[in-house]
Parts: sequence; structure tokens; C-alpha cells
Amino acid sequence: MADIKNLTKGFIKQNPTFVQVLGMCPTLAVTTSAENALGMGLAVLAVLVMSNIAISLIRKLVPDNIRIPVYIVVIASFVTVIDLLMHGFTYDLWKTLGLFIPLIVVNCIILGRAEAFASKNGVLDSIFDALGMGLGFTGSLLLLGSIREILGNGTIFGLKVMSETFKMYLFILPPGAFIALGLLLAFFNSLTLKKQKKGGK
Amino acid sequence: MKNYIKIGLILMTFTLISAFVVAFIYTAVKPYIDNAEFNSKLKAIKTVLKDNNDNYLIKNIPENSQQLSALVWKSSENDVLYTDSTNAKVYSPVYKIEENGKNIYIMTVSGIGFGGDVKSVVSFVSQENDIYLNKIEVIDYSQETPGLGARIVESAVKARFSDIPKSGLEKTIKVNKDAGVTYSKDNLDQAKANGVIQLTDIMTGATITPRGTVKSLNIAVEFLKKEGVM
Repeated sequence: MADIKNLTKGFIKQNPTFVQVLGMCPTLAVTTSAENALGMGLAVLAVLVMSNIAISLIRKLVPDNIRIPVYIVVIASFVTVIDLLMHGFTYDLWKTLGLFIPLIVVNCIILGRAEAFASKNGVLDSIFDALGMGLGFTGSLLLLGSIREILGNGTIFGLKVMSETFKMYLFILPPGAFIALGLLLAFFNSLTLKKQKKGGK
Repeated sequence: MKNYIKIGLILMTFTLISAFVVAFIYTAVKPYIDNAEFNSKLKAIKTVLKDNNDNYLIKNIPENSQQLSALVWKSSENDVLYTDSTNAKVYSPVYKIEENGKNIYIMTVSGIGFGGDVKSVVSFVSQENDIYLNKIEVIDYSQETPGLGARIVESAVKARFSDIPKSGLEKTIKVNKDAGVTYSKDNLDQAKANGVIQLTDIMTGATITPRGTVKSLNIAVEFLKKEGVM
């Protein structure tokens, strides 16, 4: 029986972005707007679910010493499939995300989940794990993207929420990405620390 | 030795299966990809065929790839028809639509912006001895900074690049910062007649992206001169 904890752990407790600090390259690069962040998050979620299923299914067929190349082949195939599908069906988003879609291949969250979880667990648990981690990643990106878009451009998903006067362009530029990410990291870590302290008492 | 061969064969099997899956998806999705690419191109062409009041300049608007390919005026086997020292480019093909004594030239051009090519589709209308730049539609600005250079795609900004008369085209087009002048909102026509794109009032802080766009317009003019249109 699949364990529901495998699903929920990715949301906050083991959040891939804010707690495990994985996949920083797309996190910093594509979160200039909430829409881009959501698109990237969903693309990673799709690849993660498919690769976790495939790797969990083939885990007993793959010899230990070539498992990494096999995982990379599986992940790269799914990324190419997603890239092709997005090119055909969501052209505008595909254009904006550009190079970052092929780069999902080397996203360490996906290989990390394949190696740490899918290769050791059954299909259902692996799907739960992928959904949890993928949604955790999408949520983090969306949060960071929204904050950067609101502060930097005064909009969210293109809708105006703040007057021109308060715009801080800094947040759309790379330094703003680091500042916003740093603050969010501190916030999430303080949450987990509080919990640990409570547990300790 | 035996073990290595076995491992090699297993890896090969996985690679082959993956290759088949990808090939299958590619074949299935290819028509949709072509369609998406074509639609985005057609949409840009239709946009530049409109005047400032959103009315079409001509009656026969191309609707499919057949109609569009009948309008090809200049093309080349390479992707690029014409380029200059700044690496601004005119891409193949260039379309020409003739109607009621009006010739409309539609070309895809690019200039180097902040992070790479800023690509636009641009239309020129020539009638008798006069020619003017009708409209531009920026189609690729993905490397430009959001909130700064990427604002090139806003319609208020694009409007400043449109409706440039012959006198403005003949002088090399410049953004007003480089020309060292500032025009008020009421004098935009005068600015365009002088080949100046007034931008500092609506697109603060970004200089490199509009410069790239201006370069792409200038190379379009150069190309038209080379072909004897101007």
C-alpha cells in the first residue's frame, strides 16, 4: 500500500527548492514572472512523474553499475517528448522558456528522485513521491515568480496589482532573484527550525 | 569480458527503446509543430498588414501556406538574405504584395539586443515614388530583460516604431537618446520625419534592445535600397 507521506513530504518538509536547495539554475533563471515559473514547474512535474514511473518499473532490470546512464537516457527521452509537445501545443510558453526545457535533463531534482526513491520503491509510491516533489517545486517557483513579478513589475500573471511608482526593477533582474530566494530560504528554514525545537521539547 | 558485453547490450536496449519512443512522438507531433510555427508567422504578417487604426491595408489577406508562398519576392537557400557588420539580418523569404498600385514589402529582420537577436516582422508600403514603414511586430525578444528591454513588445512602444515616412527612413533611424534630442508627445510625427524614435518617455532604462530593433529597421531599409525599391 502506498504511503501518503511520500506525497506530502515534498510540499514543505523536504521541499526541493527551499529545504533541499536543488534545481537552483531554473529556479533563479525562469522566475521572472509567475507565468514562466508555473510553466517551468509543470514541465518539471510532468517529466518527474513519467521518469519516476519508468524508473520504478525498470528498477529490477537495470544492473547497478550502469544505472545512472540508464536513468539519464530515460529522463532525456521524456524531456525531449515534453519539449516536442510544448513546441506543438503551447508555442508561446515554449518560446519564453527556451533553453530551459532541454536543460530539465540535468535538473538534479529529477535524477535525485530517480536515484534516491524510484529505484528503490514501487510504482505507486514513486508516483506519489514525484507528485509531491513536483508540486513542491512548482509551488516554490510560483511563489518566487509571483513575488518577483509583483515587486519588480507591479503585475501578477500580467494583471496589474501595484502602481508604477512602487516598482523595483531589481527584483526582475538576477540580483533580485538571489535576494528573494534568500529571504524565502530563511523563512522556510525558520519554519522547520521552530518545528524541530518544539519536537525537542 | 562476458559481463561487459552483457552490460553494453542492456544499455543499448534501453537507448534503442528510448530512441523509438522519441521518434514516434516526433513523427506524431511534427504536423502540429509546423502548424504552430506557421501560425505564429502568419499572425505576425497579418498584424503588420494593418494600419494604425487596425484596418487591413489590402483586401487579399494570405490565410494559408500556399497563398503565402505565392507572395514570396526574394528568397535564398540560406536562412539569411542580407547582413551587415553589426550582424543585423534580413531573413529569407521577403514577401511582396501588390494591390491597387500599392506594393507592400514584408520582411523578417533582426538586430542584436541585450542577450541575442531581437527579431521583428516589418512592413513597408510603397506607392508611386513614396515609401513608408507601416508597422513592426516584435516576434522574438526572449533574451531581453523582463520589465526593461522586453517592454519592446508593448503596443505603445511598437507604435513609436511604426508609420515612419520616407524622409525618416532615408536618414539613418536612431533612438532619441542616441540622436541627443527629446520630442514631446505632440511632436512624434516630426520626430519620425527626422528618423528619430522617441522612446525615453515610455521605455525608461532600456537602451540596448531598442537600439537592436532600430538596427534591424535600418538593415531592412538598406536591403530595399539594394534591391532598387528606394
